[in-house]
Amino acid sequence: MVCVVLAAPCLLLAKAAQSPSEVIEKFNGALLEAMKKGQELGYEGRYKLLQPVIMNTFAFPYMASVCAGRYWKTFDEKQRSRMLDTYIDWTIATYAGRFNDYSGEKFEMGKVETGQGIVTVVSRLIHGNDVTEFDYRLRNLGGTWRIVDIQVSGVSQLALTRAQFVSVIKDKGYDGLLVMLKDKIRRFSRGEEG
Amino acid sequence: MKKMKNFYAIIVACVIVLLPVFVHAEVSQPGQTEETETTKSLSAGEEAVSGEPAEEGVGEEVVPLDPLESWNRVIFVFNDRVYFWVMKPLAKGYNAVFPEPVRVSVQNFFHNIATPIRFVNCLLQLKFESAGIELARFGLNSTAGFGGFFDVAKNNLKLQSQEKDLGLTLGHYGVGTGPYIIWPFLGPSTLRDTVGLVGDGFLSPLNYVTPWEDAFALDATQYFNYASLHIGEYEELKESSIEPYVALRDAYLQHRQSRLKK
Repeated sequence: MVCVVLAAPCLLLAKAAQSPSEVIEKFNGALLEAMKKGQELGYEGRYKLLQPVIMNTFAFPYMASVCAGRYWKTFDEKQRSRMLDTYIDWTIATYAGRFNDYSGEKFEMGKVETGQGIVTVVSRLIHGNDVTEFDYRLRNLGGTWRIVDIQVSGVSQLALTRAQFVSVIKDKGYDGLLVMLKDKIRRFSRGEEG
Repeated sequence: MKKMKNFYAIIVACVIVLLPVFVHAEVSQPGQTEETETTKSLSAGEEAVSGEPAEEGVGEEVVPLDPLESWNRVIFVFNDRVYFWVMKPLAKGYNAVFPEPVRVSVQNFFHNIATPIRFVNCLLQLKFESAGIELARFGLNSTAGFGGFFDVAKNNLKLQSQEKDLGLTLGHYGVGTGPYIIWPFLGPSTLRDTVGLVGDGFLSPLNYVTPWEDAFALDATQYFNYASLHIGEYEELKESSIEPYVALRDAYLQHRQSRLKK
């Protein structure tokens, strides 16, 4: 009992001290598992498998606020909360919907660069001769490293999402954005996407 | 040659006709910044989380210069239909006949032939080392790579292709992107990249092949071969986006900007 009490802070510290590379390795591992068990688990199974890992890997509050762009400050607390929940759901649904099959893919870790409070971890998805390089950008938020953006071929996924969200909010309003996100989630769950 | 002239005539005519519209549109955009040629908005990072710096790499929220959006959206839908109804089925058939290694070799061949475009643009950007790499790659791939079908320079000597074109050269010397344009069949571009495409065309040996039927056959082969190796990429973009038109536009502009920085 004494050992458990004494060891607890150490275990917590160890968890908090997970390096950026370890965060990405764990994330890659979850994606690979979802792919390998893709057909067996189905969409719901993949969603449940990925949800806890993704929740502990991405800086969702920060990312959601960036994605809403100039409109974020016009939202009240309730709207921000609803948008954050839907944004998280959409992100997990997208991964669960798309990482659904395995045909020999593997992940490889690349270099790690640090600058201006951001750590960039390069990871490669290898499928035969195809190599897709992901630049994961992480920040230390409250003692844990979390992904704030992913760049592929020089394209920031966060900026890409922000461009879409801002465009939709401008044309269809806040409710329009949520409707579109929920429609996308529904399509993933029905297997119409992915 | 005649085909090439016709193609350029159409492109040049379009640019000349539309240029006043673009210039007017550029002038009329409020708050436009010279650096990105887009209308600057607020810093997303700053406004989103009080005290948080704007995310490095994400940068400020910008509104792309897209005065032709209504027209571009029509062409976007047209290209979408062409891809799903014509290109993809044809490319799948092509895939069934030619295995991937063959298609990769064909792509290597066309990429090797296009060396003058990259070489000249490296020189125009005063990047002499890059120009030397392109020259070395051409020499190696044309000989040891059996006419360019095998990229021995990359695979054996790690000599990466220096992806330079006239659009990037113009950007290198401070020419702005100009408005975003989607061309039928050709896809997303900007005024600057369209001008670059026309200029690069004069450096492409394929555009000097005669008779025109042979040139057309080569162009078609290159087109389908490229498509056959990239089936699924457009679908991925559509699946992961809620506004595919905006996603494609932003991805294109970001990608070109990142290449300009290299």
